[in-house]
Amino acid sequence: MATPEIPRCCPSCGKENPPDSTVCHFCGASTVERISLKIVSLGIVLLLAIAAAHFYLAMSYAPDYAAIPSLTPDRNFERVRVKGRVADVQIVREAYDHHQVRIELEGEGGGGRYSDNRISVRLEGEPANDFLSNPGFLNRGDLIDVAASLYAGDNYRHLSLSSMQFIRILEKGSGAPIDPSAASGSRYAPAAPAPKATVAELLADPEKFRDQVVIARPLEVVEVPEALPFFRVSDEGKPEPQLVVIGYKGELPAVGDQISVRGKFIYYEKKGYWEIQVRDWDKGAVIVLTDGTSE
Amino acid sequence: MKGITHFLTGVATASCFPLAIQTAFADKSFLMLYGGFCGILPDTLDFKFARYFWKFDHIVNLTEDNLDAKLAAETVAKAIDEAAETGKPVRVKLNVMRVSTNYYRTVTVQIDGERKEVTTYVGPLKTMSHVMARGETLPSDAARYRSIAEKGPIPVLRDIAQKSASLPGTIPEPEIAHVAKFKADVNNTYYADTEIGIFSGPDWQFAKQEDGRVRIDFIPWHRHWSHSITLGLLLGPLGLLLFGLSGLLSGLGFLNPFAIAALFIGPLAFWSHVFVDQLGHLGSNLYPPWTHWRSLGFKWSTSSSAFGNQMVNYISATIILWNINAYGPKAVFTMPWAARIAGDFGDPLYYLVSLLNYATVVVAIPLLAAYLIALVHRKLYFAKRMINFGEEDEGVEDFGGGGGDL
Amino acid sequence: MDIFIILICCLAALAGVAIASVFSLIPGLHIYNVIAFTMMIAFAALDLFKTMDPLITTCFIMGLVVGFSVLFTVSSQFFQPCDDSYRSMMLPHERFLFEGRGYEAAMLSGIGSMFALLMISGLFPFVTGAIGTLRQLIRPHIYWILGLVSLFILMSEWPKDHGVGKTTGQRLADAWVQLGMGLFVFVVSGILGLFVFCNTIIPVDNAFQSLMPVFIGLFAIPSQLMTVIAHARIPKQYFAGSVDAAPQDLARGALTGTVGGMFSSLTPGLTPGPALLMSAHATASSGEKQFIIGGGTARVLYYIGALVLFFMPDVYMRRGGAAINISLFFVPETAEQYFLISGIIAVAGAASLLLLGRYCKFCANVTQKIDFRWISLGGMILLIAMVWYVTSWRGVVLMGVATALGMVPNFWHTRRIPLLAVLLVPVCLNMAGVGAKVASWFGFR
Repeated sequence: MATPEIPRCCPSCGKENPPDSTVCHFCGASTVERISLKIVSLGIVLLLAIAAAHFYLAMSYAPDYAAIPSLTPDRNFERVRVKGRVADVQIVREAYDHHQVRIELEGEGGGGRYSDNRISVRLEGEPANDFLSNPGFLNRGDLIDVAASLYAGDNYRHLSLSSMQFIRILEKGSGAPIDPSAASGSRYAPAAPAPKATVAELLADPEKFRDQVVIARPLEVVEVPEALPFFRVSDEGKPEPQLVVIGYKGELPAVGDQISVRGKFIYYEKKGYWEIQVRDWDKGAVIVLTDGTSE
Repeated sequence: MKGITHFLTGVATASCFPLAIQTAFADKSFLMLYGGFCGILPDTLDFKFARYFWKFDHIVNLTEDNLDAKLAAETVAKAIDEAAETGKPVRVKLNVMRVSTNYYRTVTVQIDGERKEVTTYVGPLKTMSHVMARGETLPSDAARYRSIAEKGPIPVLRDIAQKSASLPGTIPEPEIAHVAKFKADVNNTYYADTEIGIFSGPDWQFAKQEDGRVRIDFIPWHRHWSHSITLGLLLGPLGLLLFGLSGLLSGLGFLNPFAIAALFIGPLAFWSHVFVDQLGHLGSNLYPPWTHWRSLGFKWSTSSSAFGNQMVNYISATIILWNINAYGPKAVFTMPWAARIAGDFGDPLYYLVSLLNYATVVVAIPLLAAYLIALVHRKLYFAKRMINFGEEDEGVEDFGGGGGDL
Repeated sequence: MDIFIILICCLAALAGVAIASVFSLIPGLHIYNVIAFTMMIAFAALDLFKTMDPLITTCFIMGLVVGFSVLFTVSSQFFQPCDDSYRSMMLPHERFLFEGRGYEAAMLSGIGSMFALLMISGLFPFVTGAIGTLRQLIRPHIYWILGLVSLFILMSEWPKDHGVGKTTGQRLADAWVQLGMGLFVFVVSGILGLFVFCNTIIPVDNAFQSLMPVFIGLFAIPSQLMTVIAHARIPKQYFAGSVDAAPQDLARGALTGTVGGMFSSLTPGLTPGPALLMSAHATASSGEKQFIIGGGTARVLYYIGALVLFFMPDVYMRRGGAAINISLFFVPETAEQYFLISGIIAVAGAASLLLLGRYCKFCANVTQKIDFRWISLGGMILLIAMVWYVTSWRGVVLMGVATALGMVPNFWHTRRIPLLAVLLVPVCLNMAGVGAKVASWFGFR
């Protein structure tokens, strides 16, 4: 076997060695058993080839659409991708910006209002608000692609959408645009029967209100801790008793503000006190009252 | 074997108890940790405690200013004869010389039972990885003894010192080496030579056997009562106590199912360590106080062998994954061979067919493939790296070379 | 998917790599800090970002993570030499630096990264089912797996003393000072972790950053402090055209890194350090070269692999700071997006590797022109300022406490790995359902 050529200068540290040193006398690196750094260039070329293959696959990707009639209760909770035309859009408005959007979707081939080929796609909370803030996004007759979770049981069947990004318009329809602010399908939901109470009333018989959505007013803000996600309130003009309001994501009120709070009255087991928990999407949960304000 | 290998065999042993797996879905007990703890415990006991209680009759401190090869060789040779003459065990320790954060002075000590010689050779400076890599380039013992017969011990140790990885140009000049003779017949239970390297210097015990020969035990404080079947028995009650007390605290009562499982997991995980150690060269003292000598290992592998450790670890990992799947409330994967059998992992036939399928496809075939790759790699590459003494076609003896059995 | 979107995504990813390469110059800075910073800016300019396809922002973050995971160790390798009077053992790349081979060490690590990139973009798409199964298998068992990692960290530290004390007591004491300090660091870090997990003392807007001051305090600041007081001189570095390694070093290093990287990316609460420690033992990794290569592979697999699991059909696992930040505005849905993301990783990876050589040369030249102590001092001031800006004075206090703890291993010659109890202990206890109970023993709840 031919002896490999042994370099005089160490290929690792660059220092000059005595002749025929297979190991560098300064750093101990082998002067013959080495791997060229061209291997990195080879890796770069391979990575670019892999990238090209992936992009090609992404471009030629054909989604696996589920036929709407196949969305039966035995597929409950399954994440599915559905293609269909927008037949109708209903907007259910509730107090404090808690709206619902229902998109009636009809599979290709049609079928009419009560056919199996039609399903309601529901948006609640943030996705609904995003939808409503995008007037003109959908037209009746638009062909759309929806990725959502199926909720199907004995007498119900709908798709629940967790984000607006899962609606993709494949083809614009010719129907009238939907204006969320004046949509024909828009209606107000009956007001939720939230009992009204003061802090004193709530704490006098807390079990009566346990886990219910309540509206507490008029209240006064007692403390707004800087680093913590809650603030304290008491009945207007009375320093005690106090309640913690937690979970509000909007602009915090200032100490001394008179406010109304809507949220769930719950017992915080860990620290052992009652509080009002506001759902984080509920931007209207806290309203600063000025004189004569009514809800 | 390496610490993690024992740790994983301990965990794998614990995983064979359905309760240890099922607890993840309900009560969240730490039975698996107890398995790992008992698996690694024998080495912990030795390296963190036992070694410090061991007393030596002769300690040789070699320093950079006093690299006395003669002192080291003569001390060892005399200790062997002293053991033969007095019948009492004699223990010798050579202390390491750390030159800097990075470098250690190495000294090789070779005890040749045939020629009745102790040879010491002051070698180069090495880093920790040089020391670790030495085992990968050592010649086979057969080749070494052939070469010693031809050239004598010092040239052989010189060859090894010069050809194994080290900081170049650090072998002392003029050469420092010495050969000391002893008279007794010996039974060497370990490798041909030992290099004083990192951490702690090597130590030996020389003790007269019933047949009159002096038995040479390397690192004599290691693998005695700490690696015994006897001590393993104590870990059952310890587990019972630990999990029983935690059961009392959480309202489950002392004799709760976890405590009872721990009663069995402890000894079995501990014994898995003892068993795996028997695969190497050193063995262990299995039944103290009734036995006194370390058993001799099966010599299937060495404890530092990469291949041996990787294989045992792979088997442990596959056992753990199998048990996680089979004992969980709902199997995450099923095996194709069992597809036609009705039932689930609770049915013995279904379980056995699935296990056979798993053992074949996931364990045996990959292991065989890895073995073949290792074999080819060794033939093509590893043999080239082994130090040879100018002979053709070295015999290949094991997969680990002669590493330290720690 | 439209080619136009793909091109825009590629540009966004390359911009991410470019920004990562600038930030990577600051030794000790962590990728998640950069992402968090970027997210703060993104939220400030929410209107602009809302009009953009979330995929583009996602690809930008992907580029940041890829660029960072390949490049971020380079600056600490060159700018943070160790002072051996504070250390019982020198890490391989530190020794390489002193031998003028810093470039070679960085390129070895780069080769390890390259393996991981090829694996993530080229191999992962074929094994999504297996990864999904593995994740589903281990998911309920994370608490005891983290417990095992903690136990292994504690039990696998062997005494480094040489056993030369005259009496048994002296020898035991010599060994147990080091072991005991390791244990001390583990316990105190665990308690600190429980405290941080139970008490949000950071302003609520940035509460998700509550671990940042702790990590900077435990790891980054002590390294920089040690560098600032180090007595060392970095020799002129040689730029090798090849690396001292054999094919088996590449294979075994990559194997070690793959096992460690996959382990850490599939196990919440586990970082690559302890995972690599365990995998290096488990795969019987041998020698400095395999260690460096394995480190490169494990880091990339951890940062990028963990993130790609978020996009992987069959897995969709939200793991690690980057995935959590992306999940704030993007939910992966289709195989199409997975293909795009895999391609983006390959493009960003290729760009990062292309940069790597020049980047190393630049850093090596900087060491000859600017004293490394100034670089570390600057980096330290920058990190403190960042902690102050994001987490206010409370974060700085927390960082101070963590720094004091992070200095302990330097003075008692123990490993730094027990410091990770700050994450391991609370995550393990919380997953076992006893976190609150244990925290209440310390009065944290």
